[in-house]
Amino acid sequence: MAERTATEGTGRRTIRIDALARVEGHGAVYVRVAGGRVVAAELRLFEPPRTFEALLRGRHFTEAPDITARICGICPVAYQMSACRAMEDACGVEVEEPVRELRRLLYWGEWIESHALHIHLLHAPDFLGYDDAMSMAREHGDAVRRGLDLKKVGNEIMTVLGGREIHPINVRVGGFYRVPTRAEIAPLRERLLWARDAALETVRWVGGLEAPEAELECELVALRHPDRYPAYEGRIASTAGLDIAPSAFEAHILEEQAPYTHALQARIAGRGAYLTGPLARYALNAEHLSPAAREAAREAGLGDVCRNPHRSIVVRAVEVAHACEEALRIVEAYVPPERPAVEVEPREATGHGCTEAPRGILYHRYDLAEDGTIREARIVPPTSQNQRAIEEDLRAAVERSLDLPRAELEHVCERVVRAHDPCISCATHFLTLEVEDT
Amino acid sequence: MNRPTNGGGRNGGELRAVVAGLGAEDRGDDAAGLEVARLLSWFAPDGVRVYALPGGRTADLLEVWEGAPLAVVVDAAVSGAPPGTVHRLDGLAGSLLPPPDRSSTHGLTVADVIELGRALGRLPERLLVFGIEAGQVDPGRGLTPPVRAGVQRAVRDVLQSWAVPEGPSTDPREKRLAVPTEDHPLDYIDFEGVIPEGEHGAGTVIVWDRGTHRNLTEDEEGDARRNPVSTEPESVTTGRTLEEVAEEEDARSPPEDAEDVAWERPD
Repeated sequence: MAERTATEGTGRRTIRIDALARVEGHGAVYVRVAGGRVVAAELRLFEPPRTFEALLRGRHFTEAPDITARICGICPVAYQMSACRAMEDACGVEVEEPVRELRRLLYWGEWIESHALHIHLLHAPDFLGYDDAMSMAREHGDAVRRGLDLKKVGNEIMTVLGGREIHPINVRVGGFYRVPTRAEIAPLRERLLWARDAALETVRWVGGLEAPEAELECELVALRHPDRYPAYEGRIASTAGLDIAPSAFEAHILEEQAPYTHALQARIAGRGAYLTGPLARYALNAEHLSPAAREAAREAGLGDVCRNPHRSIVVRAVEVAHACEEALRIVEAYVPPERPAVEVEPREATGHGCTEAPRGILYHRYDLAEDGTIREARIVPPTSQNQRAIEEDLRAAVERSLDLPRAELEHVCERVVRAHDPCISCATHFLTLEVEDT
Repeated sequence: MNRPTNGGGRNGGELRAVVAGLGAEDRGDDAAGLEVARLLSWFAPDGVRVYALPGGRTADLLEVWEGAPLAVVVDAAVSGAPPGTVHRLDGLAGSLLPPPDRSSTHGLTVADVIELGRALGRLPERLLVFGIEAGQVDPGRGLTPPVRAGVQRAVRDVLQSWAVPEGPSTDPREKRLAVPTEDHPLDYIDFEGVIPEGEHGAGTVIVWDRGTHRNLTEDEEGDARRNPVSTEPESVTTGRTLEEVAEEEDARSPPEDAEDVAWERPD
């Protein structure tokens, strides 16, 4: 729904699209055009201010995974993983490999769940000319059902490992509270075999969708690992040669407040906007995709690097296929770890954790007191890192489309924002009612 | 597979209804639906599954209400009514509107998910939507008092309690006195501990069991419920605590008529 203020005939017009449909949380786009040029392109995120950073101060270090998981209903695992890694870093603890495998499995569950929802219900309607998933479902019911069933497999992984599928309660600093038995893990195999095939089907489907031309120029930033497609681990790398440990994040990435948005915007010191998320992960790690996912990417024509944000739908689908294959590998090889967690003794230290949430790198830093009390917390979610890049992309898209009628131009803006899948996480949500029968 | 917060009704049984509370924790009154789910999960009867679906999980409704004859969805609402007002709507009648500015979809609104379910043939047979009118929704805050009251009304007002001074019996042949107490706010449903001497309700509090309760003598509106003298539990579903105790007892010496481990009405 759009509110417009127009000054027709003066060469100036303002497009204000309040309330983007199908974007997580609250958001708005503000674009101003004057004299045939875009003079402002702003993405306004009504992300609640960093309440959680304040909320964490004075809490015990073991509480951070569960508290931060509540920041986002879509990617609670990402928050738990970054929090755990930061705390384990602070306390000088290394989690054992079998437990790391379980954490990766949990993370793949979240990727499958989040990506399947975005691809099939939020993003695909843009390519097929529907306003929303509901109208698309009437004619493309099979694709929507496949998406929902894929999402469900992601949920199942999270239920088995996390204790419950949302805001898993089983993750702790040092490992898990309880690890599943082989019998509990076993049923996932059958489900993942189906999911892998369904994901490959989805890659073929979205690979055939016609995407608008667009080319992102900004730096792409993702974790990079010598032999894995990164989710749980890696160094921070970029297409412009950045290669740093997570602990150097704040030395290279600066956050600033813009007057029109609650979210802080990030930029790389000395350079500027950058993009994190599927396109960046793919550009920096494609060689580590599972064989079937790599082959599917090749067939879909992704190339070594994809800089078209609209084609991120294909990268997400490839990542779902990879996540299914990796999850399958872990499930098939699963032997319960000897112990679910290692003991973690707090100490006065600073710890850093950086993992790949479905939307990009999620950085946590905690300063701990000797008794494990959190003195300070810093959380940098992917969307605030991507904000500038999204705005640059918006600006470019509007400049290419200035001759379009306003309604179409608005649609162009919406499509750009949706392609980037911003999680303007966790704005409040409401049911609006027409009250008749109370 | 979403896992119900209440284990699917304590004793399993055929699926009769699904209750899903939606909302966002730490967002003030937006947590109303989640709070209803949390409270109901303590004493949902057999065959009733209760789910809490926090922000961004609205699409999961399609999954959790699959195959349910009745689904009940509880969410925070905005309509301009006083905060705490409980609205009740037929979810299949199309009376839900999207938010005025479509601003906070978390991907999909409840109205969207209903339409999606209709298009895909994934709707429950009956769908009731409860909306609890929200007041403030500030990040980092809890429920406001009027909305907390609304939550309690939504789960039928109060928690009725009986004190069992001698502790419950696990032997059906042995009767123990159960004394109705005053109604407690639902917040007390998981309260256990020692109330110090001299304070109201002094002594040790142990939650022996939770269950549903219906007064056979109440009228349609349930007004007689507040008359403790006529209280006669029709059924109190046994909770985990007593069941476990009973199982241990059974393992030692199976009672002759071990069918019921239920509370007797006060003599």
